[in-house]
Amino acid sequence: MLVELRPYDLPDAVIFGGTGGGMLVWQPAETVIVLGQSNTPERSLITKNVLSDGIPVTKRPTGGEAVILTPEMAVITVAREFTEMARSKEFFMEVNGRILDVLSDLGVKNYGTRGISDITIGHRKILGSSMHRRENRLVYHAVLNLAGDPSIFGRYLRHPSREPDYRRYRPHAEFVTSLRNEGYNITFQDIAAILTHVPKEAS
Amino acid sequence: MRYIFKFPDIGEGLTEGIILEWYVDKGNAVKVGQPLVKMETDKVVADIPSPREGVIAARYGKVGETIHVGETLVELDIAGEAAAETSAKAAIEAVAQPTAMEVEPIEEMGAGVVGTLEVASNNAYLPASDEGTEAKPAASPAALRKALATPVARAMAREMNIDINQVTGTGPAGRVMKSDIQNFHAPAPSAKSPIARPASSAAAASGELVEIKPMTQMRKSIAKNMLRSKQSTAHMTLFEEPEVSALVEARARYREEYKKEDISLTYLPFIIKAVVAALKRHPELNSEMDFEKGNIIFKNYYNIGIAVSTEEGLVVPVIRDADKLTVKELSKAVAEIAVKARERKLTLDDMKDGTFTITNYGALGGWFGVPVINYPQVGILGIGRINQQPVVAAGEIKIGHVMPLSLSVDHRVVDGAEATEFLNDVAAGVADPLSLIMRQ
Repeated sequence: MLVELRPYDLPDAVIFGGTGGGMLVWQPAETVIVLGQSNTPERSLITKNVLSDGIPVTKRPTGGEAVILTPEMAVITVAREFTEMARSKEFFMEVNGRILDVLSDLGVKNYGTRGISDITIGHRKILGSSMHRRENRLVYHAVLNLAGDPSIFGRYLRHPSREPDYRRYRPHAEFVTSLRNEGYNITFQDIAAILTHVPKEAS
Repeated sequence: MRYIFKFPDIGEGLTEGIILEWYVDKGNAVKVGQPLVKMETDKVVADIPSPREGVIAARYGKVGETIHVGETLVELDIAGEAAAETSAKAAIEAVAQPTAMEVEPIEEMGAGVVGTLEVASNNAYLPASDEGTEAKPAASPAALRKALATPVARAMAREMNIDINQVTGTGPAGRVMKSDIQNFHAPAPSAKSPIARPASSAAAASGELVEIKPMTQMRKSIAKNMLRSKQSTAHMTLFEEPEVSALVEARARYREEYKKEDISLTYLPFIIKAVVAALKRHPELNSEMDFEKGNIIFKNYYNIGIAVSTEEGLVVPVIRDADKLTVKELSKAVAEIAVKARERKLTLDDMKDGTFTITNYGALGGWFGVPVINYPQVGILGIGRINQQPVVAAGEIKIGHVMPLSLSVDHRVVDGAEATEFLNDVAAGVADPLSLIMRQ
């Protein structure tokens, strides 16, 4: 039995399909697996578990590897139109920098950025991000694990075909963590309240 | 005018991307800014827009293929200048007597969606690198030109460590094709040419204390794989020295007979047979660990990798279904992969899906070793040189032929007792080659 991909109908689909700038911080209503553009269910997923547990699967417009969204996570989507050609890395750094400020404001310690655009606590990942570019418009998409159980990744996701150097072949459960696992009881509302008050030029 | 548009760095500083979707076909007219292709790097999916208005004369790369930054994505015939369609060819011919005017016809722009891709020149031809410190003689046109090539050809040249600028292209406008790389034979170095001298000699001659050379793709792959093996497995190595006089005698007895069929009989086919027989008795060594899912994957097929040293580095082509092959067939298979490796004709298919590896450093005079496992396999057997030693048989000392064996296993999967029994079985097999045939 094959995994069927449903159309990308998550709340930020309107941002990917739209024009201009904007920001959406949202909380998934259900557990859903989101593939990157070049991922396939066969290569990226442990399809037997996905099918037996009835987890819906969709594919986002951005790159990167497959992720799992659960209600214990926050998804941050930021779009921006540039008047000149901006480098995606700089946009990653800008938005990630804003998120790091928020984490700092909320008392998180020992955070940093690793790989191309991951945010980590210690050497474990709490946020992964990816990007979509069409003409001069960039859309940043990130998933922050507030309290999701890291073991869920290993149940549904295969080891990715590409990984940052700092992962060092660690399985999902040893690579990913959550703010709760690290001792921070930060809610979606805490994150959204601060992030959505970003200065106008960064939204 | 023919306009060559290369894959630009889309902003992450990464060197490659995957083609997700082509929006245009050959013959399509495109406008400035019109999306040509959807590309994905590690994190970014980007529509790459056309930098010029024109007609697509050629596009390079298929969906799913990896394109490196700087490789050609499309060629555009610029509207109103179609007469220059043969400009690339004209430019190549013109290089014999290059002038600023004559090398202009190809506009080789690197301008991309995010700034400008660095290219060394807008000309079709770039100067060769300036190695060595002696006065440089006038370089040949071939040495000076920057080759036009398909992405596949460039990737293959990089993999095979061939300077693509030295390859004569047979494709449109002199473009280097995959077949040109396959058929390329590097010119023999000339003793008179300082450019052809090995760089280390040049550095030594100039008195430099260090020399920095970029790693080839193959060296990068080897480094990555070796590190991955060491970081991902629990290496353990055992040694054994079977007395193999019977094997030496058997080979000597049949060597001439095989030679009549143009087959070179070496010890390796016997060793492969002994390994396969032992793998059947100890399936843990023909497995791999899926740590993520907590499984051990036992393989009911026996694809034996043979480590081969080439000028470019180590490669491990695979003899498939080795359990189904006779000594004669194994001899042919070993010879075939050796020739392919020497002629740089190995493909990825030749090197994938190995289940266990043999490395024969004895052929180079090596004795014992601590081989690095070819991850995700769990075992590798090193073969040392056969040498004559005093051995004890039936209470008497005699001169025997001894083969040093070194077995590395992944201790996560294979216990010490299992590894010892496996090595003992291999040793018994090569000590008694008749048993390999009789017990098959």
